[in-house]
Amino acid sequence: MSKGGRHAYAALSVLAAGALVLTGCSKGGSDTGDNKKQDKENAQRQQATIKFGDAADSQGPAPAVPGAKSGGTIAVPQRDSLAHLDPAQIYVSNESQIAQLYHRGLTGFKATSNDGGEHEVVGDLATDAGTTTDGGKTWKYTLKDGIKFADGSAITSKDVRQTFERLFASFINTGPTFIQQWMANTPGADYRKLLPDGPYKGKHLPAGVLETPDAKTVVFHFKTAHADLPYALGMVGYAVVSQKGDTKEKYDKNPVTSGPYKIQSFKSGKSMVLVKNPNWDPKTDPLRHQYVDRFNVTFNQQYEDSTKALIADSGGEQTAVSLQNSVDAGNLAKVLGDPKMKSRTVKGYQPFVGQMNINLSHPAMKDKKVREAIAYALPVSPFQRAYGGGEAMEIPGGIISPTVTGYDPNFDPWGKKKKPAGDPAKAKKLLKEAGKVGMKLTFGYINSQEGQSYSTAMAAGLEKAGFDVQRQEIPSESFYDQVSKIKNNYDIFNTNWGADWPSPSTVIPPLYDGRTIADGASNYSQINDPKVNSEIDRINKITDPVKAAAAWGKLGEYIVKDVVNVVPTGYFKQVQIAGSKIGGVAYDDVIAGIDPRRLYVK
Amino acid sequence: MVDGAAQPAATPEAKALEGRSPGQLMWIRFKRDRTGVISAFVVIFFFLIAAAAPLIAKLYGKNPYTVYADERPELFDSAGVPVQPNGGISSEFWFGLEPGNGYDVFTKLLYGIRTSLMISVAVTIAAVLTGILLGVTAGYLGGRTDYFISRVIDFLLAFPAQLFFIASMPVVVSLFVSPTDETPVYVRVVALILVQWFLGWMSLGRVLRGTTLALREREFIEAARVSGAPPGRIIRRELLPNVVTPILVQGTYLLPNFVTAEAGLSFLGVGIVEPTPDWGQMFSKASTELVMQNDITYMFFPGISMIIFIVAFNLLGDSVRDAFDPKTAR
Amino acid sequence: MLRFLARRSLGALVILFLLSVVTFLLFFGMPRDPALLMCGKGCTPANLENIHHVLGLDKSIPEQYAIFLHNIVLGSNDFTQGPCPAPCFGYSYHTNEQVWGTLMDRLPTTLSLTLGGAVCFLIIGLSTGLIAAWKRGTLIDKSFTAGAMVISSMQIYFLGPLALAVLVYQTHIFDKPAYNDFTADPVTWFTGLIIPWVVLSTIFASQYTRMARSSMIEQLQEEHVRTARAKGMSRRYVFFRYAWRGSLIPIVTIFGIDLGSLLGGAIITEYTFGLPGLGRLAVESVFFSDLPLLLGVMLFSATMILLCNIVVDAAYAFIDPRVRLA
Repeated sequence: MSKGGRHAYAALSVLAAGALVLTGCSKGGSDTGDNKKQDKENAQRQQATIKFGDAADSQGPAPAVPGAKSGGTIAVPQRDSLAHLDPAQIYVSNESQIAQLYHRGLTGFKATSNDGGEHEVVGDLATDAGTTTDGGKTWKYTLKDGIKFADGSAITSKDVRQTFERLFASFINTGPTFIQQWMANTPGADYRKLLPDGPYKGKHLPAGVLETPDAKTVVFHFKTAHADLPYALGMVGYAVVSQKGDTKEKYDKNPVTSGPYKIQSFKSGKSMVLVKNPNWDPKTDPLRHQYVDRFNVTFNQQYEDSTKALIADSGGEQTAVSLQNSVDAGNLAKVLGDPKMKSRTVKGYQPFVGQMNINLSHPAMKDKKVREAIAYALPVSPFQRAYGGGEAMEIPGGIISPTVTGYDPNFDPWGKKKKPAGDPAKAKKLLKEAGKVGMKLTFGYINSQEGQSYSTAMAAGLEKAGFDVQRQEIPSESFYDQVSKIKNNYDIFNTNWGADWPSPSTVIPPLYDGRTIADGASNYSQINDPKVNSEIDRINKITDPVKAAAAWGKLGEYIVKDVVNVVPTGYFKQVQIAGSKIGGVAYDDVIAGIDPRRLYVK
Repeated sequence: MVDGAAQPAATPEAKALEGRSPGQLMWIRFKRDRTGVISAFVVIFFFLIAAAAPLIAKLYGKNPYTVYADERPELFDSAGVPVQPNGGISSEFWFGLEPGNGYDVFTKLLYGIRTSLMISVAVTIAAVLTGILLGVTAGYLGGRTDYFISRVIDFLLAFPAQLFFIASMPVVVSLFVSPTDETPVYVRVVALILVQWFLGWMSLGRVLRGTTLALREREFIEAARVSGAPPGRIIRRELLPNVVTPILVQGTYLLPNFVTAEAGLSFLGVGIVEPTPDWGQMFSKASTELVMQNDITYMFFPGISMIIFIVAFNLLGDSVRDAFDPKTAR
Repeated sequence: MLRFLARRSLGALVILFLLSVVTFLLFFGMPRDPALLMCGKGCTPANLENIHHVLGLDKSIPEQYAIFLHNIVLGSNDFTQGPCPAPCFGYSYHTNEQVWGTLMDRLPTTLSLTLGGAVCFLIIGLSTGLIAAWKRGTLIDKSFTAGAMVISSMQIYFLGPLALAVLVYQTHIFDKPAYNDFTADPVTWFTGLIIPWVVLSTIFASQYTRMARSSMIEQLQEEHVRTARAKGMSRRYVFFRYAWRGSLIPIVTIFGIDLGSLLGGAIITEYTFGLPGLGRLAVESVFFSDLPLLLGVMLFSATMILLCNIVVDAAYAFIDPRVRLA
């Protein structure tokens, strides 16, 4: 998924991912040496593959959070309002994070450790993570008993069918597209042809794609094997939609929910109130809890404001925690340096990786020497600075984040770790060899506070190497639309991409598979390298996750070092803080933020 | 009201039986006002350093565009905050370094003042010319012309000014530059000037209209008309010299208003943007969390300099007004 | 009086009408397509066209304007989001909420900021100005005048962040300003807005100090005042009963202008303090190329300005019977 999706607002944001062990085993935060070790451990945690749970693991109730009590109201300041409540439209991280409270899907990621570091995929509405007898071409799911929507109606396979069939309708356009593409066996946006009007005109997916033989059984049929289906089904984008209650576009403001909380009120841009859903049965839910009585969510709370309030921790702030907001850059040093705040601070890596795309469709960029010059010259320290420094962003080597399998900490072909401000001398030499000293380079940057800040410094660094950089400002709300156009004017532009689940199969194919090039697709650099394409196909067929991870890792290195269509700019980290009366605070690596399902009021 | 004939009867100067023109009298009165003279010097100082900014920067040896956070990383932490207190004020960096990309504050302030003053002077000149043109014409010709121009003034005054600026800047910029190229700085400058000019001339226009209306009935105008002078000549030769006073007085209040308005727009991010130095853009930077938490000293450079400038200009305006019309002397 | 009000109201309507036309033209001159915002990932040209149709953007500009006028006067049942009673500004492109509702939601913040600030700066400004006039020529006068001059030269974008940095961040005396519902808890409503009020009032008050002072001094030199003094009336009586009235006009004029612009949304103040008022809404509407919202805010702000102008002009008649509202 792209970070922040379309709504990348301006703010000095700090993102890091990981979890502090709340029992206090980690050493002092101001000691950077120990932090590095902790970071490594956090990252290593994530690289262990996530296995599938069985029927026992899929049963509710969820294991109790130590020390948890019922009751209380939690205030949740959030920076971004929710553009969508319809699960099929939910893709951006802040929307899916909070939706954990009110939407449920066939499967889900269950935290198997109290620090949010270990997970397994289990059945959420289904009895298990899914069974396949033919290596992933056919997947069978059985719905649990006693699962209901917030309006009291039972959840049946009819609703599951509705959930998937409506994904093909044209009004569903912002959610994930993996499963639709798998069903239609085509990449890109052509999947809609499978069922152009969704279920709304009486047509349905053929039994060869989706079968619902009875009220409790759902069978997926794919033409190619997809061992990752249980992971994909855990995304909020595939949460269940009520067939009777499907109001199409209106569902986006008023969905029928299935989680432990229902939406009592929602005022876009202002607030949302979540209250307990009496029709949610904890015995059916292995993932969530219903400790808190009520969540008062408020929007448009900038990182600086919520951080300040939470640091002050007075009055109402003691029972407040932001799910989305990080500690802002200006306050990082204070928060991490104060031992009193340790117990309510969590941090770690986010799955997002920043990368400067080089637009391979432009003739000037086709010269490999030019691309290498860009890679050497580009300063990445401005990117780190813009987001708040070392605690917010790590200088990267490759495109695979420390949170994803296949990450290699020693891979740094352009020497960014030693020279984060770039190596203009080497770059200039390459440019001279290419005979292109002084060539024009159009740099499209996002019109956010960070974008303004890092693009000017990056341009200055590139100019030292002999490029003539023309910066072009792109409004943040349409940034990804602009850069994802096949015909765009930008030679280089930075995008941030996070794995949808901790496997490079959600990073490399969407970004680097040459056959997905289309307007609006995520192959921003428009790379179409035959070796990359064939490797993607080969690795997708590997069923052993360990072997697959190693293969993805190698492919990632080939892309950065040999194809040079992207230059990694940063690994996002996040530090979050909660009020002192909030318990169960853990940074969940999969949700990429504080896990809302475990929270309680002390 | 014009005091074209304010000749005090028994001043000491009259003993020498030399008539002094109103302009000379004004100058004498002005020179006697110490506050006014000091303010004038301060204002001139600002314009001088703005004009000489490139020269000063050359002597100082730095420019406002160098990204010191990358050139001299040892002076900063990884978030771009200067390691030394007070933003790293030193003999090398007189006003310290800007948190973030580490620009030199001294040269940035100089160039920032230069940018803002340049834009504001242009707007002031444009607004004054328009105000004269439309105001005097409306006042003198009266009738339909006056009605029409006054209605236009009313209409423009009802515009929510700042909102209009914010909304129209992207439109004006896109008129000049196709979205495919980088927006050159001069385009933003021209857009700012145009946009502020559009809504900047009305107050002067109204004042001049009033002045002209009053003057129109005076005998000397009547005499000129009777003697057959065409309206254009009357306006040029008889009216204009007599409206110089309100123009000067209003003008000295207009310029600082335009300076602060332009800074406000840059503060909101619709005016001049990084990396072009601009007074308002420095305020924008100063209001970021990074600065407010870690380096308040940075705020004071654009802040204090602007206060000094505005106070000086307002005092100058007061003195000019008093010099023309001693009745209002405190 | 009635005729005056009728005439001015008609004039105001004409201005609003013209303003809406200008806003329309301004919007369609904007380089950004709002449909792109809503389209999201995987946006196909078909999607875009669909959204254009839903938003009514595929109709000609005059037609869209006609629909807009119709909706304002008569309301509309054509929106997919639901019925929209008059005055209907439509639904915001990016939030899908009724524009009128959004305006009303943000109004209390702007209203609180304005009224609280106005009370503050009127009290501070007028009292210091009157005291300075009363004690004319003394040290108090000189220091008040000088102080007012310096403070009025400060800008909100300097004083605001400075106040924040000192009072909130460094010393933690106050919490970050925010708008809290008055009906829920008047105390937090007060404490949440106190810093913006103080900042606003220091900057505006000084304007009134100087105006009140110079206006009073001028009045005190008028013949009728001097006659009253010559007749033996006490300085205080003359000051507070005679001179006061005459000096009101310029003060009321400025107050009307200030009130009008503040009610329309103090953009910089709200931006600096992060208050969700009409000013912020205005910036958002431009940011998102959101035509219905932009029109709503523009017209609302302009209405406030015009209304205050009319009220001020009408007030003249009460203050100064010599003024004829012809």
